[in-house]
Amino acid sequence: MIDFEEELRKFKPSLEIDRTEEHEEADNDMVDLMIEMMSEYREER
Amino acid sequence: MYCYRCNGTLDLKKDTCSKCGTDVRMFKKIVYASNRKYNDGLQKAEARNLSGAVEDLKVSLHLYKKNIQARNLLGLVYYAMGESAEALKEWSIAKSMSASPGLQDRFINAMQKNMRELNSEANCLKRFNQALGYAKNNAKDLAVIQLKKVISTQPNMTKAYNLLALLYMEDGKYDQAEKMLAKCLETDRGNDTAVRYLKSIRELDESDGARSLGTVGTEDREQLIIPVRFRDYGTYLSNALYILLGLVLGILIAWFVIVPGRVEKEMSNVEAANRSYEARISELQSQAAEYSREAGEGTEAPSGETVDPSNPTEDQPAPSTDEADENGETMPVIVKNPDAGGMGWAKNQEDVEKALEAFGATPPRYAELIECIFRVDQSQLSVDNQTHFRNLMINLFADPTYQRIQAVAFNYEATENYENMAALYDALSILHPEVNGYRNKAGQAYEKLGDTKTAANRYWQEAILFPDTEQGKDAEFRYSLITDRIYLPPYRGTTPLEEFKKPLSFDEIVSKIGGPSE
Repeated sequence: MIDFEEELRKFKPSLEIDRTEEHEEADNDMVDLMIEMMSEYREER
Repeated sequence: MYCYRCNGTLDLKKDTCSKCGTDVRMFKKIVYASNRKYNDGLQKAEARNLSGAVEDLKVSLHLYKKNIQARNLLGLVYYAMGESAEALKEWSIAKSMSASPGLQDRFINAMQKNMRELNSEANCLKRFNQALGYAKNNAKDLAVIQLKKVISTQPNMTKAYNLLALLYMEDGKYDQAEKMLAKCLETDRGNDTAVRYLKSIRELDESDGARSLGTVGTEDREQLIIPVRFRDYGTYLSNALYILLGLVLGILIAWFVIVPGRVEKEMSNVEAANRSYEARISELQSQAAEYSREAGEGTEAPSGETVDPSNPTEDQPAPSTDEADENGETMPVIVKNPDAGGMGWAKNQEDVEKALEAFGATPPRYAELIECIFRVDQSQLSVDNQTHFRNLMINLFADPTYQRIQAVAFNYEATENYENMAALYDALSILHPEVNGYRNKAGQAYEKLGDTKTAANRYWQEAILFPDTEQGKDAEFRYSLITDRIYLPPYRGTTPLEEFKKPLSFDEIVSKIGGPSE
């Protein structure tokens, strides 16, 4: 059963080309998380 | 693989960085996991399951964002799905992360070289966002229009197909939604959204007539069937029905309102014509009936209107008798006949021949004929001429309606031949004294000829003998006009008026014509 409103909410606007410069940084990954966790561990120690 | 701390090249067999000594076991596991996801993504991308590839590649990058291969592939997959901006973004990130030029540079250069296509792609993305805004603001029609433009320009934009399919489904246009979803799945076989929508459509197909009736929706957890297709058919049917109804109504209005009016108008015209014809017929019939009756010539006038054979009034011509002149030649004997109305008489066999000749002419010369007849004294005729005369009389006057004579008289009146008209009507009044109207007509003819005295006499006779008839009243009116008298002089004779109106038999007519004077 398709709920129109719900499905419509799932659609997100597409990134426009002239706005790609605003998103040129990658999100944090697991490695960053790991590094952060290790840093915290070291600090605790 | 490079150390996450010093960026030194790692020995894959060792658990520490040979440069900085950092424990890289966890790091290596993460990178391996990222690579595995990249491989999965690659596999899916090769199988044209772009959505699946995107998911795996995203996971790969979530694990290790510096997985340039994964990022490049993700960019490529995005580009294949029509998300040019996302692709450009991933390649830009990859470029910034990479120390040396790689695939990402080639992709970026390729995009930037073709500016026209880049602009077109940029417009498509803007249009899609606009369409999405319309759809969320309930302007579905506008959203559909924009999405159609998007897919016409960017035929591999799967998001646009899905959104358009969703809008079609909402509008009950499942066939068109299926088409959009099919096109989406051509580009992206594993598009989860398209698969789900398609499944939903097919479930509706399989349900008991629900799709045949309309779209299935939910409201307050209750399943509702919104009749859509029926509405489509109903729209066409109702339009056709309305048109048909309008035609029928128009025909009925024309039949019951307009046609009767026209028919009535035509009927009234016909009736008016009929009435005029009937009036004319009745007029002719009344005249014919009047002419067929006997009418006495009002020969006895009241004071001032007496007809005295020996002492004629100014209205009556002085009688005279034939007298042979000194040379022995016969002169036409003008015999005064009291019924003659003032016409002269003559005894002459030549008159019979003239009468016969006048009767046999084409057309017959009735005036001359009548004149000759009235001059004839039968006692003076030879046997043969007596026979001729009698036959002539039979031909002319045996017909009780005297239609021929009357027709001729009408014609004389119409052609303004008043002399012949007067002669004929005088003759008719003699031959049929019981018929009213002859004297009136004779009076009119004399009036036209300027003989007002004779005309007045004829009018008086008509009015006295037939006072209650239309002709009699008309004659009285004409008498007052012609004489300037406001009253009609009364009849003072001793002979009853009815005597003057007695119908004559044929023999009596014949005997009166050409009879001796009193």
